[in-house]
Amino acid sequence: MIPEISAKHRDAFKSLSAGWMRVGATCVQLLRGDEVLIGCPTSSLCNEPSLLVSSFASGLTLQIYGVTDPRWTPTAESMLDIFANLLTVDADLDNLTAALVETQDRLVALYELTQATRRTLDINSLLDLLIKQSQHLMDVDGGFVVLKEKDGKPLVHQVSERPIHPAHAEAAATLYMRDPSRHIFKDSETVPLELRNVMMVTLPVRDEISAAVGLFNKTGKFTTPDIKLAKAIAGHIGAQLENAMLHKEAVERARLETEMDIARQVQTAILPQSIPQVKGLDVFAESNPAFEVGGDFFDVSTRQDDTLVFALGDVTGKGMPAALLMSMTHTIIKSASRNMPFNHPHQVLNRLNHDMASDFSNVGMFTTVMLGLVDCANCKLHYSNAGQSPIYFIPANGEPALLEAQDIPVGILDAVEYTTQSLSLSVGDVFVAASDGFPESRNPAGEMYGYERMRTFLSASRHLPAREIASALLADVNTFCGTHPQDDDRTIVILKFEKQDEKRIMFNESLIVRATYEDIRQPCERLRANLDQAGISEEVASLCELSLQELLANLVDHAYEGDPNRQITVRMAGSQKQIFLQTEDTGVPANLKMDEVHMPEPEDLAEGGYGMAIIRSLMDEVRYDSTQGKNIWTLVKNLK
Amino acid sequence: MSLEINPTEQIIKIAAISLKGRLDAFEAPALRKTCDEYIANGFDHFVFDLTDVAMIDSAGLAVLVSVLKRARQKNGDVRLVWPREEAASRILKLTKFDQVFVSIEKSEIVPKGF
Repeated sequence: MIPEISAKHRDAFKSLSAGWMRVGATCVQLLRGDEVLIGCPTSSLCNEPSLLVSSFASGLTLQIYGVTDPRWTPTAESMLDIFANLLTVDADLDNLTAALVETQDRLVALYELTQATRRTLDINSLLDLLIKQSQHLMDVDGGFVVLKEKDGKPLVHQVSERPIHPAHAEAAATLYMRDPSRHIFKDSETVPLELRNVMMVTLPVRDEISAAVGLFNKTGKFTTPDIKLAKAIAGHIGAQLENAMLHKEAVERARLETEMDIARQVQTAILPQSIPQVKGLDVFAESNPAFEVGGDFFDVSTRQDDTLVFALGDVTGKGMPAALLMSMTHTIIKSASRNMPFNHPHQVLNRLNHDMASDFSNVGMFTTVMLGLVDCANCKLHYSNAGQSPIYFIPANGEPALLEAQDIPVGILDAVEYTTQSLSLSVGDVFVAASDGFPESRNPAGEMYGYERMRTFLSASRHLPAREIASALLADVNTFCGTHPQDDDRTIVILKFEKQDEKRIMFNESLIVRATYEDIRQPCERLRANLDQAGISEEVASLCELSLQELLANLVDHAYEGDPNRQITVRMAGSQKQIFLQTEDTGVPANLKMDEVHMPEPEDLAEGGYGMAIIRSLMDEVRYDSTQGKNIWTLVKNLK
Repeated sequence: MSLEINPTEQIIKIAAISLKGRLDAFEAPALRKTCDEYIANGFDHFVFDLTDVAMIDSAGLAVLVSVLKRARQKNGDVRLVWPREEAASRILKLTKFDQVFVSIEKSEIVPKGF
């Protein structure tokens, strides 16, 4: 290598030339090829004969004009050697200096990069920074980053004056990923057509994302130090990128939580704050929103004609969109049902569908809704059901039925003619409208609570007041779900048809006791205290107490076979109409037909068999249900 | 005519057991144990004083029937002093125990004539 010729070189050349001048030289020149590097004197007519020596190794020639004697040749050769050495040493020194300066530059640049990355948590800015710094430090035309999440579509980020086709960047990344130990690509088979050379390094972000940086068109060629530098930059940016992604996720989560909070507020705000009551009807309604608020809603209101209107629905989707459509739907139902003809709830749904169908279909959503009207004076319930499920009708005496929806949800088709169904009500009949959040609740094993389990539970709970049915059902669903979180809103409206004077609930409680003869005394004593306080006659009170005692002792003996570590749940409720007792155990199912239970004849001197016979003769109703590992006994004593 | 002397000796062991409170499944085993001991000691007549029993359940009834059966096997018997509480009395009638057991007054527990 020949360095720049400096003044120092000229001075040295001049003093050596002076010696030649003394032996008769007119001009001395150092040449590389035909180019004169140094001449002394600087300009001269050099047309005299001359002595010429060349060095093959350095490519230099020394020409001395005015001297031709070959005896001077060795001297000339020495001078050429001296100069060639001098120039080589200087060239090495220049290179070393340049390398030092470059290293220093890179350190400063890396420091600046560190500082700059600290200031940003924006993913695109970080990728920009990554490529721009690499461009600056490695003298390349541009670069790209390819990010690919597992099973995701690759994402290409580029900084370049002449961006390359994203497909080329993806292809380069794919090629590199196959063998990440190979970094430099320059042959035409592996490098995109428009590029001269490419260097790829891994961008370490997180395990589930594979990412690579490509830098292209370096002046000269990529070297091993370039790979190290690029890896250092990528490592640094990668760490910060991971922070940025975590930050972005946290922000996203916070945004979602805020949205859910607002949606929950909207939902809570429009639902009735208190449930109006009408004569002869026990009404309860509530909604338990899930974390990701669904679109459940309900409404219960009374009209001037003493009828009660109730609605329950579920807008598809979650969050704000569902909450907004729900509030519009709710408003229309509320205003339309105030003026609806007496027994035509379907007209409200027609109107709702007419008004909202385009809004719903614009956002690809719809709503199920059930609207009912209870006419206590005529013991009728009229309802119209647009796809809402489940709806149960549990007659006081009879099999509970799941009422299938007659019509399609609102918001699917423009023109739908909804229909009205009617039920005749008797005292004790229970009507339950719920959202699918109840039956479709899942346990940790993924099993659904199910429509049948819900039907069975409601059947066994029909003697409870409406509010108690709801809370017992919710408790049962929660027990079933265990640790599995609530996926969807759970909304329910329960109506229980009863005589006006039956409404007053005198007591209602439940307790859990261990299955021992000693512990079962506690619920018996509680029952007695409740009955005494409610002013129930001594005779009825002691009959009820004895029946409960007999039932519980029977469970201790037969359901749990004396195991003192098992538990029995006891529920007791009293209205002015009846006393309601219920036990729940998880022991051996009873194998007993109440119809075949009779009091032993006195002359037989039976030592057992009195317990269930006593219950049968004292209580007005004895029912036994066994499902899903639970045995439920229900005793009812009617009051005169 | 000489005097005929035909002495008849009859020793009747009567256990008079006075009960108070609830005669239910929890208490019945203790009563059964007490009665078992009397029977083992040759008692075959029992008087249960139920005057102060507030409540009887089927487990309590079972003990009374069990004692009655074993006493009768030895030609003995069981008498009941009827409970004062309606609740307890009602259940004895419901199970027709009034047709099985002979009832006596509280004053008759100790035989007269001494």
